[in-house]
Amino acid sequence: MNRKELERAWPAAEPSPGFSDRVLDRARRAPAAPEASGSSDAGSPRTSGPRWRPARPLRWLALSAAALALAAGAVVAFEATRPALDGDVIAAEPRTVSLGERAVAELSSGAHVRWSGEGAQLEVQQDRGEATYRVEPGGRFAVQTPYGSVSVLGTVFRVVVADPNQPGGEPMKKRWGIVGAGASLAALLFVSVERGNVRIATAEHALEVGAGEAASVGADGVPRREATAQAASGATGAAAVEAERQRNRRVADAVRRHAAKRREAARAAKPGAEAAVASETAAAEPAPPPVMFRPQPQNPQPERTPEEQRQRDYIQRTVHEQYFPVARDCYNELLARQPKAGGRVTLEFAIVGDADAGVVDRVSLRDDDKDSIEDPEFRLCMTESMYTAVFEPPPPGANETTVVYPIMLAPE
Amino acid sequence: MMVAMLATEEPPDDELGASVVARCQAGEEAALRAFVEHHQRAVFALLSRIVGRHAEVEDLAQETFVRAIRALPGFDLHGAARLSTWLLTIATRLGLDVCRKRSRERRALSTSAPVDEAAPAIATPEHELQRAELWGAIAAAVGELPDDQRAAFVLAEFHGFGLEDIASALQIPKNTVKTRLFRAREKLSRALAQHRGPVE
Repeated sequence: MNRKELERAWPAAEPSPGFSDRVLDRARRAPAAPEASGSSDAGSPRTSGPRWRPARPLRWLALSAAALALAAGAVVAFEATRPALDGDVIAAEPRTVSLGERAVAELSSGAHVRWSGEGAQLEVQQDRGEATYRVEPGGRFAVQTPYGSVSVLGTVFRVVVADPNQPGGEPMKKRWGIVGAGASLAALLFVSVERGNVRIATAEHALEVGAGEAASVGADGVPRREATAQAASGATGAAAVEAERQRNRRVADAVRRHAAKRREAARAAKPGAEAAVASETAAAEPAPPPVMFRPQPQNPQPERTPEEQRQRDYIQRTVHEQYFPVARDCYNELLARQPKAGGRVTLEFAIVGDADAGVVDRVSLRDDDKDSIEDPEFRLCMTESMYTAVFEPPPPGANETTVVYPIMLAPE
Repeated sequence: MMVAMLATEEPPDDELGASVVARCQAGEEAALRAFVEHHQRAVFALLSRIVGRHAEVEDLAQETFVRAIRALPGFDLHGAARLSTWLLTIATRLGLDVCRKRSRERRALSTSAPVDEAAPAIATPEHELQRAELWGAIAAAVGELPDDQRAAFVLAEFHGFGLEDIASALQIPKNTVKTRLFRAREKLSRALAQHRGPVE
């Protein structure tokens, strides 16, 4: 059944004559106050006044821009509208937004921020992504994230929030240039301070972080100090930020290039190619031990060189961090359909080399007697989700690394 | 698989020109009228399929456009988001708000596909009867879908939204969108199984 047939079978209401007149009348009469809370028209900031008038004079804008640039020492592009006291932006690409009249946020692609202010107070809700805030002194300014809050009195600082919708995204460490190991790898919230001081608070802990310092919050809710790439290299702030951005762009480009190649290959694929790939993949590298969503005793492991062991540990850790959270969702959805579902699945994939990142290719779930879950939606979810992971490039001289990864699944 | 039941078609690329949108952003009345008239049918279609064909569809559609007009100056003309996607996202959220408010007393949307609508030209009374039965089956199946599933289905099948756009509009993970679409299609597929003759 195509769309036209469906539309005929499920007819929709039509606008009555004069609808546009009624809308425009209502827009003219709309009050100047911010809209009542409720559903948010995400995607673009809400303006606090009616837009039923020409743009405001540029004089105000110029004064505001000069004041902010002096205060923050920053060169930023301003929107040609008065800064909204109340707004909601999901950045489709890097952009700068004015938050009220004394703060500016530089958003990276994918960042989602909402803000509201009253007088000198301004509160920002950052749900995901990266934002650098430049704040003039003058009142309370706080950034709330799902993993803790960051409050300041006047400073320049950066907040990176792990995307709860895409837990399989690039690891915080790799993507954001955090050089400290350990806690950073599992960071859900990362804050670095360029100027001034901030206070990071979670439900039970708080930490003050000063200029040149950074901190992260992991799943345990404890803020910890981190070393930043900038601090480690001794690079100047602007140069380090630019280098970091360029690197992020290269990684993103590598992922995009590979996704395009994969789509192209899928279009050109012939029957039988998949089987050949599977056998090649299975033979290429010994399987890591089965990893369960709940603990189980591990089998004795054969001896490996330190580099083999490091690589193996790295892949296992990356799969845990990037893939398992998504795979859990797939499994939970399966449990909603089949409450007793469980068993073993064997994931096979290749990590293909690119100059800047290792990207995932040829993901499949092995189809043999040992795999006990046949639900097609679950299998599709498990394989598609693996494509979101990003690894370090394969070692020099190797075109790709192939991985066979058995996973045990059992209800909690 | 059931998923293949409904053919997906790319929506026509009928976005308003950038110059018109820029004039809208400057608050020019003629451009705003063009904006409303260009998108009003899609907004009505979306809302009436999410909340049912109630009188409040007109109010919700008005509210959608009023909010959009207010927020238009902040819309990024050069961003990745299409204006129509952004507008329909506002409408979707308003529609779902209404659904949530009345969820306790919600009835099956039997009015969303009334069998006494103007019927397409079908030659025989038997075909008309079959068509009416088909609409009844769709109405019943759609009425039983949870609000969020129905919204995901409508955005995907009628408005050409991709997984990411639906996830953004409904503020849910992409995997959840996939699940909701899968289940909605499966339910409708089952409902239509008995009526394949007249429509295929």
